[in-house]
Amino acid sequence: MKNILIYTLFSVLLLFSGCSYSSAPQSKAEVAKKEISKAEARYTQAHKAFVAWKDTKKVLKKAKKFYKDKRFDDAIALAKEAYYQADMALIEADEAEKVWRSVVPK
Amino acid sequence: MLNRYITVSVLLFILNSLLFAGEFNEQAEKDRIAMQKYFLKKFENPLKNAGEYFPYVSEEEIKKNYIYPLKLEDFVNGTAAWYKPTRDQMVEINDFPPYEIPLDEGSELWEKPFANGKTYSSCFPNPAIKQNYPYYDVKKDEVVTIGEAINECRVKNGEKPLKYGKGEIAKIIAYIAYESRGKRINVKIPNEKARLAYEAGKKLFYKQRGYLYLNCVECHVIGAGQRIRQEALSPILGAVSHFPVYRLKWGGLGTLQRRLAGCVKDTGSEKPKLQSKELKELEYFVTYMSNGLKLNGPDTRK
Repeated sequence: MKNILIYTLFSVLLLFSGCSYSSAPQSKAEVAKKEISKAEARYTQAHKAFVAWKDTKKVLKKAKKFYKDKRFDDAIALAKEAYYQADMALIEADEAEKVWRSVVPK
Repeated sequence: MLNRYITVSVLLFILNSLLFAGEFNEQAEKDRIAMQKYFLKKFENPLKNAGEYFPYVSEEEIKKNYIYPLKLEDFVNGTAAWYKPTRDQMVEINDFPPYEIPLDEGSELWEKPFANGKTYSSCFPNPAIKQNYPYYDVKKDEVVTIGEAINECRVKNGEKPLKYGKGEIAKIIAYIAYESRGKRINVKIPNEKARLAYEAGKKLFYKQRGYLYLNCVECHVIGAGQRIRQEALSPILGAVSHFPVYRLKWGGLGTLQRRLAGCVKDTGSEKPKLQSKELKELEYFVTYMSNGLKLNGPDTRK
């Protein structure tokens, strides 16, 4: 009985460790995909508002290429960079909206 | 009796249009006059008002290199209006203007018949039309630039539209600009939608953008009359009068749209598409600011 319990426990552990081992790369791919689509959505927002920064599209494109090449860590890093740029563009546009009238010659 | 009614109606219509036309450009006129006043005051005596307008320029440099006081008409010369080194360079360069050959080519293109035998004259009987562009097309509800008008003419005559920015279109605009020399810029704001387009252009001009968080004002209003390293910055007032320009940096003739897109990019923003709604509205605003000034394009710039 004791042996059965030990074998069962061992099998379960083995199964879980196997699962986690095999799902690791897939999960990174998922994270990268998610980060890219998040960055893409934010960039589209900035682009439509005519405030996107100069390099964001390029960074996003590179992130997609890394994703395609299965370099998920690089893809995630660049997607985050692209998201940051698009986000900052929208934030600064909001800020500028409040102050631009102050520089109009009167 | 009927004739009287018609006459009265027509008169009322004209009166109404005139009254409302005045209303639509009321703010724009205030903006234009304020801009002119700003620049006239700024360049009245840079030595005297250096603290207010030229905080980074030494007294010595003002004495040596600045031309002042400036009159309103002087602003059509851009940087060459106030900065001696640029003026000297321009005078020398324009002994044999680099835009002369493309201008001649533009003239030939103007005369060259399309496949259907017609020429650009079928759309524009008089090429001296640049002073009216860009204009707000009330039927299309959008700003129309001179480049678009040219392409519209081509399409109407069964030809492919030209690429905006440089090349053939810049040459044709150069010919139109040359024929329009001496005409005063006369951009109008005919209705409420045109006013909104003007306001959108104004906002784009004054609002900070890009990763450098810059607006057009920093270089071409506040910065005008000062330098960024070796580059003397030109005032926005009169800046549109000499386009298209042969830019030494480009090594060729380029349109105002191309220059504006480059300026937007220089702020660290995504480069806008030529003839995009935003860029046309910016051109509409910027050109309105120079209303009343004489056209002197094409010209040469650094």
